[in-house]
Amino acid sequence: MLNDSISRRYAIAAGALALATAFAVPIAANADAFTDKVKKDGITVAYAEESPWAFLGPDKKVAGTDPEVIDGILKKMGVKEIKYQNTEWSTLVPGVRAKRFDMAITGIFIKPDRCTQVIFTDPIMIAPDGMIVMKGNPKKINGFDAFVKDRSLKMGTTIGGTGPRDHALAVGVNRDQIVELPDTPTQIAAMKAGRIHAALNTDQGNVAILEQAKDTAVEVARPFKQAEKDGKLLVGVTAFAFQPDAGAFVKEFNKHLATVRGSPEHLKILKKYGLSEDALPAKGVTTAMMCKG
Amino acid sequence: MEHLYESRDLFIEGTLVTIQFTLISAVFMVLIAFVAAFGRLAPWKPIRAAALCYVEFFRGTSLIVQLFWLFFALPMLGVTLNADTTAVLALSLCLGAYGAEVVRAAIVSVPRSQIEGAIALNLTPVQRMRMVILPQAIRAMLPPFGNLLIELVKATALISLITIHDLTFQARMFNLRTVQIVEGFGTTLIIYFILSQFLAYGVRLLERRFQRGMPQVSRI
Repeated sequence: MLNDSISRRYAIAAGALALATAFAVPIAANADAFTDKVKKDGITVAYAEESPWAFLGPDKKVAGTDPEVIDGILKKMGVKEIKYQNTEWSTLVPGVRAKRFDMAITGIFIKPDRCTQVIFTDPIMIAPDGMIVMKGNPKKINGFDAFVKDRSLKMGTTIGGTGPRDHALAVGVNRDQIVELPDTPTQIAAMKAGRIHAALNTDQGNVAILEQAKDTAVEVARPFKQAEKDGKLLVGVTAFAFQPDAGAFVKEFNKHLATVRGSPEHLKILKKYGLSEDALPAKGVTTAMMCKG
Repeated sequence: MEHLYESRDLFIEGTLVTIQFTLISAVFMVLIAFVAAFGRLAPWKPIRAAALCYVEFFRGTSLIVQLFWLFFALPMLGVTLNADTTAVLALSLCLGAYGAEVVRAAIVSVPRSQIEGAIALNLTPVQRMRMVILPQAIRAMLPPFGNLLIELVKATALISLITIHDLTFQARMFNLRTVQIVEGFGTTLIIYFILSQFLAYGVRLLERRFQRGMPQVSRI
């Protein structure tokens, strides 16, 4: 009897909790609340340490092609404070989805699965794939073909960095030829240890990290043939990712982005990090297009 | 080596963060362990059941999944805890579940005759626990708690995955900037080892403290 009334009380409490959570979600979703919030309290921007997109500079300030672009735009939009949050690459998109961060940067590819989780801005840059190989390229790796021809070859990719990995799978590289590791340094270490034969990342990232590390035991594979499917080159297009309820803010952001992208100031930023106008997306490439796949 | 010297700030900052989280989580771990253990031994069935559910759930699921769930999934249900709170919560709940079994086992291991003697002396149940059972039980639970503490300091490495800049996170940053994996992770290994040696030493001191007044048993 006693036990009965207790379990009933628990059941009522559990039911109330379930109801409360059910109501809590819709209330939180309010389009303009986001704009008000970031203008008032500042915006939290998550980045993963990776040159040339975003990294902590020697002066302890976040530098890179992405922060320099958003700093100007956000300021113009009336956001007073930008709070950078250094995090793991694999937590960028999930963190924005969970509203841990208002926005995520660091050369994030616009991809269909991500489009359902977050809102992407218009395209900013393209990021061709590239591989780091051992000095002298002993396995003659100049593209994905080498892996299709020789099934004993393995490549490392970054956990959560599914862009280049999906290109490899699309051109017929087997699942078991791809080893997922936390970042480029661990990929290079795995390669030196003989576990993999190439580290697949974006070419820009590869060039930047080797420049920084001055590691002469490895090199960037040159020339490198991009993945191609049905006569179409598979090249990643990057954008910034926003929270699902930032729709109105992103619309406004895109207006500013349109005037910045490809402008002389933007080219100056790219040049500063060793890039050129080749890193700009072709005219007519839209986020909606990339979201379709 | 010069890379290491240049980046010493990273490792120092990271080590301090790791120590902070270890100590704060350790306090909560012990508290939770005692509460859950007493829950497991409570005379009232719903409390026993709740304590059992807690222990089995947090012992039976992976800490990294608990961390990710609290950090990335809970906000979607409308509850957003900051990263530090999430880390302490997950670490102390998970390790506390193991601790609860340590406390419970130690209490149960006190010989029945001791409790009978305490009853014969007309001690109340609270007095029995405080003056007879716990002093003996704590001696028995210290070595396994020392074990858990070392487990805890190593488990803090996982909080680097929820944006906390602990030792492991800073080692990763060092690797990303210099690609000197051998130095980076090598240094990190040594620092974790030193930290756990300190903890083990601290627990040994406590053991000696609680051994006072007891017949000297040969120290192994």
